[in-house]
Amino acid sequence: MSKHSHSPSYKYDLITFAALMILTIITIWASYATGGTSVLAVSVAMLIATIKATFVVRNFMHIKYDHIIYKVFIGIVMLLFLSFIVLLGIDYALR
Amino acid sequence: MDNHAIDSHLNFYETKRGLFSWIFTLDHKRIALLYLYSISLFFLVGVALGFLMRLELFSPGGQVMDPRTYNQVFTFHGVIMIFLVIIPSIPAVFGNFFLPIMIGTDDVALPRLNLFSWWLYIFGALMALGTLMFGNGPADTGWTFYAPYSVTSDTNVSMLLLAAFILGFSSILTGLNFIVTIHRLRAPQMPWFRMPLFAWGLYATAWIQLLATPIVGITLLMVVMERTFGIGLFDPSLGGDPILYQHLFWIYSHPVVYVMILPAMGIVSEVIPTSAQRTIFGYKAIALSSMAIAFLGYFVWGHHMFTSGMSDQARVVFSFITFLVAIPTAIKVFNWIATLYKGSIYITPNLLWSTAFIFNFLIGGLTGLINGALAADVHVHDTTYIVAHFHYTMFGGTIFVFLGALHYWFPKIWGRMYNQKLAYWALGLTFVGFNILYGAMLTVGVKGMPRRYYDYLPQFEFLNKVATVGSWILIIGILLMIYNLIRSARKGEIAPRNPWNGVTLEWQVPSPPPLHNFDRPFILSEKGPYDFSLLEKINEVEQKPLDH
Repeated sequence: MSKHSHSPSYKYDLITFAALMILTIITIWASYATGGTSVLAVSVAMLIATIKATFVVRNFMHIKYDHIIYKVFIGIVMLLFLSFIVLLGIDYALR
Repeated sequence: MDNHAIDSHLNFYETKRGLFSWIFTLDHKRIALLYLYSISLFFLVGVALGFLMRLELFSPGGQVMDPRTYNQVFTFHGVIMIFLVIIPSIPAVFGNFFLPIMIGTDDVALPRLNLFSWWLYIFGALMALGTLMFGNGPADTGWTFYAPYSVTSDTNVSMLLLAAFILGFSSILTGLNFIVTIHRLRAPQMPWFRMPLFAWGLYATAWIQLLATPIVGITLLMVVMERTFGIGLFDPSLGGDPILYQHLFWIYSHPVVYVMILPAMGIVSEVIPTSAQRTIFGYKAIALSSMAIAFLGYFVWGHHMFTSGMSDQARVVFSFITFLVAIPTAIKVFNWIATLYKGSIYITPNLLWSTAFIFNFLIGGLTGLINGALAADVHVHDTTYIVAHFHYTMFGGTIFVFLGALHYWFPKIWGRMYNQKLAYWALGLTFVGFNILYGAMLTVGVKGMPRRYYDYLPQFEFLNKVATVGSWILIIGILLMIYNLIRSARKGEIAPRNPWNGVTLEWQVPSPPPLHNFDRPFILSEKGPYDFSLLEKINEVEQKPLDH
């Protein structure tokens, strides 16, 4: 982490933690609301999980405060996995 | 430079002695040699299994083993050669030894992690070997572990999968180490585009190791979970999807082909300028093509699955992207040839190994284009044509360069010269044997001989006999090379600092290097790593005694 000009506070960590808990509850609720095993259910669960992972990486793993190169690396990895899902989706949707 | 001149002239062999000084060493050069000796051992085991397979296929019908053993032998041959030899080979041996030296530092960024990687490798290897001793023996699924058979086979599939999982961690940690080393420890006078091309190859490779390996790790664990708990992931009888397994497996296993070949291409990019005594043609194009291959390699996995039942649209997309990979690969080949053109070429075994690589890899690459073409692939899929294509790229490619690199850097690693006459003979036999073996397999595959078959029709007999004879010549060549290198390491002429007149940094350190690599400030050119106008200045260093 570079300059520590904006060091995280406990309050900030607690807010992040609370957000993660709320999103977990929403995940459980969404699984009932969408039928549990449908394509929609899986898509919603993955979307919420991605948002949660972003919070963890950005706030708990301090990427927010780190050098731009790390953000670029993570962005590339995210795009890579997105492209895997798109290519897999082409097969699954059209098989 | 941060000059790490050390107090003595001791080379890295002499600083400490004893078994523990090796197996718990943090020195990147010693760890590289630990890998070299381990990988060489497994390579010989893999060769022996290949030899047995060729003996079995010498004539139709059973020869030296039963069908079940044959399945286990080709599986074990594949697992050993892929996971224990080719994937770690060049990065773990030559990357570990030469990357820090070539970028002007005294070790990798994370030496303890480096040692841990080797221990993980050994642990994974022992676990793989352990499958021989327990239960129903080693797996018989093929090295690809395709579901649903890998879920139902009564052999030691789970143990072998866990071994591959552990070996994957070793690979990830090595890749991570190289990325951090290249980012953080490059000499201050060495910006990205003055880095040697071998370092570029390792860098591109490291990203694949880091990003693709976890996918196969999880996939293999999913098979273990399915075998152990009956979760229906891949087995259709449990509600699973076997094509999903193939997708997940090849999402890793196609990029990993570039883990195997990109460092090899990096080494060829070192050997050729040194042999031609001129700067490399198209430095930036070669460097960036490594990154382009690494990137594009992530999106072509589906070409392994054209006959799997995947959707037509997906097959077209994967076929199209596959052809794109040929472009950066061809850029490299054209630039190597352009470098040699009108160069002051020194013919050495080093150069001939590299040119043999180019020859083999061209065959491997062009036969790969046929596989990438949807209509043609359907006909050759699951024939020995595919096996031969794969061996042309992996053996004729990576292993040929690995053996060539052993010759090129032999004086630097062991401080002695090898016997060139024997080296030419060994190379000649290996090259001829290799091409007879796999040329015959390409041909018999096109004629329709399926791969992984224990027995075959009489019309395939002649070419199978030719292939088996080729394997004998190949093995004689390899054994001759091993004899030559071992003998030369003990009794060869003492090597100078720069026997091949190279200009990259490893030729500016003593042979073998001292513990901290550099015994004096090194010389770097602003024109890039292959500026041969510096050669005289670099070679003057040899004459001057070190001032203390």
